[in-house]
Amino acid sequence: MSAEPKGYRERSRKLLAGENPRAAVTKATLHHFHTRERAYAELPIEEWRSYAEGVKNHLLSHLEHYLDQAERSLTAHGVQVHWAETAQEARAELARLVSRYQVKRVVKAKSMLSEELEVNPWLESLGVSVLESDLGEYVVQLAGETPSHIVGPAFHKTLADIQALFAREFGTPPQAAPDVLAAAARSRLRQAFLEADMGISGANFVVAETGTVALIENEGNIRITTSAPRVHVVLVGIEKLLPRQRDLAPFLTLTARAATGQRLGNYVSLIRGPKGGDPDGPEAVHLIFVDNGRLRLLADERSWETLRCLRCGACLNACPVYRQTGGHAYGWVYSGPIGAVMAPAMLGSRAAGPLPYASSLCGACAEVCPVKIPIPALLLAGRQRAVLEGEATALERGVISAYGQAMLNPALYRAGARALRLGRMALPWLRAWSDGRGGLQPSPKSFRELWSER
Amino acid sequence: MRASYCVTCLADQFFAEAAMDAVRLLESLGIRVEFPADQTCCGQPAFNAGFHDQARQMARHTLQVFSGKQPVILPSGSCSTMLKAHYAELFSGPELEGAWDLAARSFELSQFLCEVLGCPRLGDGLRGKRVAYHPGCHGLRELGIGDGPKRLLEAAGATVVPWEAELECCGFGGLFAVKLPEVSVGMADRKLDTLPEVDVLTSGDPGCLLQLAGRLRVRGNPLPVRHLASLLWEARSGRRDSDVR
Amino acid sequence: MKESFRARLKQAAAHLGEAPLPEPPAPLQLSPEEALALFARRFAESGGSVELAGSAKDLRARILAHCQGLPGVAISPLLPARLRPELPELPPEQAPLAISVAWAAVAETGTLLLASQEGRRLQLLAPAHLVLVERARVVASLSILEEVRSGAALGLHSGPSRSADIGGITVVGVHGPGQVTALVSSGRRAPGKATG
Ligand code: SF4
Repeated sequence: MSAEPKGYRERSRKLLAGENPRAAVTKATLHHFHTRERAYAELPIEEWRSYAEGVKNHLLSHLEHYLDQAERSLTAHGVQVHWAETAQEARAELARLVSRYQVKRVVKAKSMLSEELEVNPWLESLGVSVLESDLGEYVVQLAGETPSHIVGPAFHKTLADIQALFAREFGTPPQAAPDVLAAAARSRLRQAFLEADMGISGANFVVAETGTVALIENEGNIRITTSAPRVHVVLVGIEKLLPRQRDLAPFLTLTARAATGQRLGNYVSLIRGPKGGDPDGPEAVHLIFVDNGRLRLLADERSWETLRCLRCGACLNACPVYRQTGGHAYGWVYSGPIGAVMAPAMLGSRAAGPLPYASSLCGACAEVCPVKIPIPALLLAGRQRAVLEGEATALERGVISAYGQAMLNPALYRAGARALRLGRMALPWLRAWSDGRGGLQPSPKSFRELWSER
Repeated sequence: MRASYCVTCLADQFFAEAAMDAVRLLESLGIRVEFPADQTCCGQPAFNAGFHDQARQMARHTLQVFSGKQPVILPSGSCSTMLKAHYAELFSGPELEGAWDLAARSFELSQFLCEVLGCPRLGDGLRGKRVAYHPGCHGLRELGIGDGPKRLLEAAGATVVPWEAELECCGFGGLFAVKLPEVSVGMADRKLDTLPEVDVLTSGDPGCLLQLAGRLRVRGNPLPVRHLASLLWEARSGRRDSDVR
Repeated sequence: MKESFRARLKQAAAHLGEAPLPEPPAPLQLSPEEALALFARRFAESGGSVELAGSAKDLRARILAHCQGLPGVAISPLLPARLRPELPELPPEQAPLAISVAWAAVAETGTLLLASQEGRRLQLLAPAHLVLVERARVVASLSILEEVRSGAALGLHSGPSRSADIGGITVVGVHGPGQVTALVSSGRRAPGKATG
């Protein structure tokens, strides 16, 4: 996984100064924030969230049992199950499948895990053509970019951006309406669907009890990707299981409500195996269970809770920090609040860089998360970890310890004796403050002085 | 009733008059306010930066300064959250019990007015004033301060004008404001871009007030920014003694 | 599971305490009439159309009305012979209309449940999709998924194919059908049988 979260500040600065995605991202995230709010309001949502949190906690504490069960039920109806501990292993498995089925063309349905595994460049290096079939993902692929949001890969792009892109790629008119643009993509992608040898998808859930793979979407591209090509490959993280078939309905609708504010995506695929006696459908279905750092998360005393994540994107939509830059500032696959809390345990504090600090700790994310991941607490844990692992900057260490000493000595504090030294040490921060907000203007007399003068 | 006042560092240094307004207000409501002179900082800046050892030392000092049984009142939602929600994470054993005890008897100012004193009608000194109220995220989400402050303001004759981004963060976030200043300022701009026509902007959080007032000034907007305590004292007394930012 | 994987998994999960498995929230319960009314409303809300057939004759007439003027259609093998329009059958990718038979419909989400045994291309590739559903198979809650234990795949369709990926503006018919109509039978006779 090529992860460069370290450059967050530089990238955020650039994104805010130059080609500014803030307006597009703000519009898209606020829209989804409000639709989610309405969809949540239809349910006794606290009961639902507690249930979902409970199911995932149970699952994670019995993960071995449920993975074994899932493997048995999947295999029972003809799904071939593989295990990959690392991204390399997952890619190697894909390479074996590509050669086994003599695959030349792949269509993909949006999958964050495939981004994590960098499937596209890998397949291309094997001489296989890859086309993203989700419209937003396709836009991003055409632009040579990466998705900037878990659910809306092209949230950072305005209509004008896409008009220009499509004019260049397809010769559509520069002011073409969205349905004209969609039609251009449709005809190109329709061809690809019918010609592809292999469809690759992720999975929202795999039901251990019945071996059912569930996928939620609105466009139908996932349904076609998993139906039209000869071979279907499912890439799925080991945490994506649900214990029972009866957990499926509530999790499907909770995910849709959290992600887009719908009661359900317009399309849901529930896949159990190859076509068998059906008129069409894939002849072979393979499923690769991927670890790639998830066991590191599971082993972490705090961060294991992030494995409840449904990848609904609600926390991104609620996050005022994310809204300023979109996902590209974060420098790896998972952006926004959930990305910032997964990074330290999955990548290590050094690689995670300032991501745990990319938050004002406002708590808007935790309020909306359908599985109640305590994101602000995990951000604080990530910061504490950074300090313990020696990743705090010299400036932070110096100022906090000088400040701490002053604060432990009331006489010093009162005398303001340290203030001057502290001020000099914190000069870079004072400058960072005053650049956007002008100089600090203390009250003419402190409260303490006013009190003693009473 | 007697109560201890924990002024908090930012209010002490930057909102001294407002902090005094809170005292005046409380005294006018019959509270005997005491100010333990040894108080310093609650430790939140260190805690939020990830320095738990330093935070623990400051928290320990604060626990000692505010030992006793009486309520502790703070003119800051954020520092109240540190005492009420985070001290418990720093301690174990008997100290933990002390932390819980302090958490239970600490109140952000408006919380004290509404939860302990029952949201008393303060007066009508704010007649005709249009107010934008910024709730402050810690008070809003961690302390669950609901519409108490708005009720107090409206009962005093003010109109709290709906604000599109009311519930969104102002971008202060302590260390965040200086560690990632561009993003922090962008967040303040989102708040201010959606600000309705009002006569004054207020909040119960000194940090948020510094951020919003500073950014307003840089944007060349002369809108007065005042601490909630000052507006509530004005509601009661009809007087405006305090700092306007 | 690979043994190396199992060993690492055991170690990673060792610190987690026992967590009980909670039961799902109670499923929505409605009378058949309420379920039908809610299905019609919700399906329409997400961009589908709903028609209610008054009788078996009306059902056939409505199917024919949808086929009016078309050169041919794609037809589910599950559609009973008596309901088949007398038109050339076209493969789904060439047909202007595909006719499916649903396994069931769900009111709370406004969803048609489509079994793969009638063919998945049929359900996806034509620009318009007409789906027959038996009135008695319109249920209140999505918890009906609990009963799905066989078949290669089940598609849940709750409206037309749509996307808002281009500047946040909704377009329909992106990959799948841009028009989808649920035609609910009068219920006196089953239009066909399918299993999940
Ligand atoms: S952390 Fe919660 S809100 Fe964010 S994507 Fe995951 S499930 Fe959704």
